[in-house]
Amino acid sequence: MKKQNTFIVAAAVTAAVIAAFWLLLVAPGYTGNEINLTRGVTSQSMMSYQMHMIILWICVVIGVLVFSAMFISIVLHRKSRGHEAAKFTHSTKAEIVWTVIPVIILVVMAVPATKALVNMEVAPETEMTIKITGFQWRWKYEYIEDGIQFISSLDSDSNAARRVDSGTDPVNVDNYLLDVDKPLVIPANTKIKFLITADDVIHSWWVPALGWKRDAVPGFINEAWTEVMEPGVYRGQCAELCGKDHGFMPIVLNVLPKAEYRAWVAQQNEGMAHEQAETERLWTLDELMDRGEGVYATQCATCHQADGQGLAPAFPALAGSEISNGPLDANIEVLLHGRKGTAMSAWGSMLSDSDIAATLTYTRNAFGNETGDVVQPQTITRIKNG
Amino acid sequence: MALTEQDDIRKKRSRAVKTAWVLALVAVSIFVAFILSGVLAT
Amino acid sequence: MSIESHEIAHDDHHDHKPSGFLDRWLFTTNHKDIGTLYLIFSLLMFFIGGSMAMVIRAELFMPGLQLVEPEFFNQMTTMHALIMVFGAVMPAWVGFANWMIPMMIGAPDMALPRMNNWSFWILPFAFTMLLSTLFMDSGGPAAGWTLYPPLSLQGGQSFAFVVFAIHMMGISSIMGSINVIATILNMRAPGMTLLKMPLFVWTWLITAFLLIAVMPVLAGAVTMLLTDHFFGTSFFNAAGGGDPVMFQHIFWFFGHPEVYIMILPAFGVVSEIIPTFSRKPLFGYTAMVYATASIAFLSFIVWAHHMFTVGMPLTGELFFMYATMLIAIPTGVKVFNWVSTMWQGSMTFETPMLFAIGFVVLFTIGGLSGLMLAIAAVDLQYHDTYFVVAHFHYVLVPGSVFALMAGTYYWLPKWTGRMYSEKWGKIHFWVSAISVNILFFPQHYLGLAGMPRRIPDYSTQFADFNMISSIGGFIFGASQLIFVGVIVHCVYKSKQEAKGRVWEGAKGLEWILSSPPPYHSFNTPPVIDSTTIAHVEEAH
Repeated sequence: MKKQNTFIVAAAVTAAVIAAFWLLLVAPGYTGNEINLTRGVTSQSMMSYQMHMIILWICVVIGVLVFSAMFISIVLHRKSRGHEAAKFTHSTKAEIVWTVIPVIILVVMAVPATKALVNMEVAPETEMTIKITGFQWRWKYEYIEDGIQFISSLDSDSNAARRVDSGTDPVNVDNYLLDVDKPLVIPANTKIKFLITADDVIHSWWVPALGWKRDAVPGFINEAWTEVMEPGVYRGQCAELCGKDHGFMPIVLNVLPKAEYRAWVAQQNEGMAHEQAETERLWTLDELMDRGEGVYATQCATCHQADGQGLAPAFPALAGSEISNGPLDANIEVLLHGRKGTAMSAWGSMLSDSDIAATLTYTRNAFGNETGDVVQPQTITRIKNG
Repeated sequence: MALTEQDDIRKKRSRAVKTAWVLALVAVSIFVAFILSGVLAT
Repeated sequence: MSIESHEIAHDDHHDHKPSGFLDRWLFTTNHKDIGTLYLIFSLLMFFIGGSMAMVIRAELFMPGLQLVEPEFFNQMTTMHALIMVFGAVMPAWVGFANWMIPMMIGAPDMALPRMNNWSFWILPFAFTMLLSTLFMDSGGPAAGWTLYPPLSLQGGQSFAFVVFAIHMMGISSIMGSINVIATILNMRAPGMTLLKMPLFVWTWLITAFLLIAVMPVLAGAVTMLLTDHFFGTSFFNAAGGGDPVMFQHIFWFFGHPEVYIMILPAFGVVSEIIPTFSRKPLFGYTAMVYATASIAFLSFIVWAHHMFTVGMPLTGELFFMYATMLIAIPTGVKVFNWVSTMWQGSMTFETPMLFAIGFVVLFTIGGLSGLMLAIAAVDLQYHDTYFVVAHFHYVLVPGSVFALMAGTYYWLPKWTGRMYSEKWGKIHFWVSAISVNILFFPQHYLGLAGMPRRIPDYSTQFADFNMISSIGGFIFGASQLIFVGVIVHCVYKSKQEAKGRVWEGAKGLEWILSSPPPYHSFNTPPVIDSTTIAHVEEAH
C-alpha cells in the first residue's frame, strides 16, 4: 500500500510542479512569451485561428479522456493492490464504436476545414498586384501597377549584432532579426494579389499576421492574396531553408491607410526619378567609393566579409582576387548575372545601375586592390541595354 | 527422420530464395520507374 | 536455477560459437550476433546524432550567434537527422528484428543468413563515408535531411559521398527487408499460422513491405540529384525544363511511409510489453493487425501533406488533407486497444512497462499534434515552424526511441541471461520522460508564436522557451549515459541470473528458450500450442 501512495503523491507533485511552471510562464505581464497562434489581421488568419482552436480543443478532450482512463487503470488495476486480471481479449462492438465516433468527429471537422482552405486559396477580384522574388538572402518587391521596385534586406543593426562574437547583445537591438531596411508597404482594406517566385533556391514568404505562407520556387510563380483590415506593422520571416542566411532575411509589412499609401507611392516615384537622374550624370571617385562602401556593407559583406577576405570555400575572397583586379568586363558580368550553381546572385535585377557601378568601383579599389577603375552608372546602363 | 527434416529445410530455403528474388525485382522496378518518371517529366 | 520442462539450455554440447574475433563478428551469419551488431552500431549512432543535437541546442540556448557559423549549423541539423533516422532508429529496429523474429516464429535463423551479414556490414562503411563529409572542404550536407533542390545542388564535391552513402543505406535496408519477409513467409514453425504470430512479427512484416516499396524511391530521387549536380541533367532545374517541386513529390512519397517504417515496429514492441505486464492478452489482436495494415496502406496516399505551401491545386490539397485526417483513425484504434489491454489487468511497473506506458501517452500527444497539422488551412501557419519540429520529435523520441528502450529493457535479460539493475532502469526512465517533455513541449509554443525551423538565431521574443528547451535537451542527453551504464553493467557485472521466462506474464516462443538462448535455437521446430504462444486465434 505504501509504495502505491508514494507513487500517487509523486505523480500529483510532478503534475502540480509542471502546471505551476506553465502558469508562471503565461502569467500576464510576462511579455514576449506568446504561446498561441496569432489571430492576425485578415479573414484568412482569423479563420485559421478558429480552426486551430477547434482542433486544439478536440485534441485536448481526446487526450484527457485517454490519459484519464490510463491513469485510473494504473492506480486501480495493479497487482500490488491485489487486482486480478480479467479474461476478456477482444470486443468487436468496442472496435466499431471507437472507429465510427472518430470518423464522425473528423467528418464534422472536415467541413469548416474545407471552407477555410477554399477561402485561403481561391482569390477574389484583386485591386493590385505585387511580385515577390526570393533571393539568397533578401526579398525583392515589384509593384506591377505602380511601377515601384526595390530589394528589402535585414537591417544593419541586426546584421551587425548577429555575427558570431559581435559583442552586441541581441536584447539591445530593436526587433532583432525582424527588421529590414525597406519594408513592403501596402494599403489597408485593399484586395492584393501576390505573385511569388524565387531567383535561386526555394524560399518561403511568411507573415503570420496574414495567416499563410507560400513557397517561392525558382522558375515557377505561386499566387496568393490578402486584404488587411488594420493598418500597422507586421513582421515575418523566410520559412524554407535556403542556405546559410535563411534565418536572416525577414519580412516587414507596413500597412498604411489608403490615402497615406498613395502619398508613399508618389514619394517613391519621386525617389525613382531622382535615382534615374543620378544614373545619367557623372560621379566622382569619392562619391562612388562612398556609395559603394554602403552597398557593400549591406549586400555583399555577409558573404565576402567586411575585409573582402571571403569565406572559403563557398565565398571567394575579393581582396587580391582575379575577378576584382582583372578585366573590368568580366567583373561587371559576374555582378550583373551572378554565377549559376553558387550563391552569387544576379545583382543586375536587384540593384540600381548607380549601386552596381559604385560597388564595382569600391571593390576594385578597396581591400588592398588598386585597379584605379572608376565605373560610371552610365556604363552599367549601356551594358545592360546591350 | 533426419532426412525428412533436411528435405524440409531445403524446401523452405528454396522457397525463401524465390521470395527474395521476387522482392528484389520489385525493388529494382520501383527504382527504375521513378527515375523514368523524372525523365518523362522533363 | 530451475529449467522449465521444455526450456532448451545454452550449453548443450553442440552449441558452438565460432572462435576468433573476425570469424565471430565479421563473418557471422548468426541472427543473434547480427542483431547485437546492429544494436551496438545504432547505440553508437544515437550518441553521435545526439551530440549534434547538443550542438544545436547549445547554439539555440540564447539569441545571437555564440558557438557556430550558420553554415556549420545547417550541417548539424542535416546530419543530426540523417544519422538519427538512418543510423540510429532504423538499424535499431533491424537489430530487434534479427534477434527476435526467428525466435518468435520458431525458426532456426533468418532465411538468408549471408545476405544478413552483408546488410549489416554495409552500414559502418556507409556512415563512415557520410560522417567524413563533415571534414571535407565542401563540408557536410547542409540542405536539411530532406535535401531539397536547388539548395542541395549548391553543395560541393562532398555531395557525391552523401548520395553514395544514402545508396548504401538503402541497399542495406532493402536486403534486410527481403530477409525479413522471406523469413516470415517461409520459415515459420509448423502450426505457427500468420494470425498466431506475435504482433511484433506482424508489424515487422508490414514494415518490410513498406521498406521495399519506398527505399528504391529515395534511391531514385538522390540519383537524380546526383546527375543534376554532376552530369548536367535538369530533373529539378526549371531553366532546363525540370521542376524542383517534383523532387519534393518523389522524396515525400518515400518520406511519409518512412516515418511509419520507424514507428510500426514500435507499435509491435509495445503490443508485446503491455500484455506481459498487465498479465492480460493483447486486446483486439485481429483489429490490431488490420489497423497496422490500414496505416501502412494509407501511408502511401498522404505524402503531400508535407507540401501544403508549395503551390498545389486546391483539389490536391483537399485530397491530401482528408487522407491525412483518415490515417488518425487506425492509429487511434491502436491506442484504444493498448489502453483496453491495461484495463482490468493486474499490472506491475518494471522499466519496460514504464517506457511502454510513456510511449502510449507521449506518442498520443505527438499524434494529436499531427492531426492539427493535417488541417491544411492552419498548416499554412504551422508549416516549417517549430510546431512541426515538436510534432515529429514527440512521435520519434518519446515515440520510437522510448519503444526501443522499452524493448531493450524487456529483452536484455533474454539476450544476456542476466537481470539489469531495475533501480537504475527506473531512474533512466523518469529522468528521460521528464526531460524529454521539457525539451520538446515548449517547441509547440515557439512554432505557434512564429519561430521558423532550421535557423541558428532567433528574435528575442523566442528566447525564454528556447532556453528551457535547451536545458531539457542537455538533461535528456546526459541521462542517456545512464542507459549505457545499465546495459554495460547488465552484460559484464550483473550477478542476477535471468530465467527463461524472464517476466511472469510473458508469453511467446522466445520465453521457452533459456536466457541467454542457445547460439543456434529451434534447429528442431518447437511445438505450437496454447502454452507456447501469446494468444489463441479468436473465435468468430
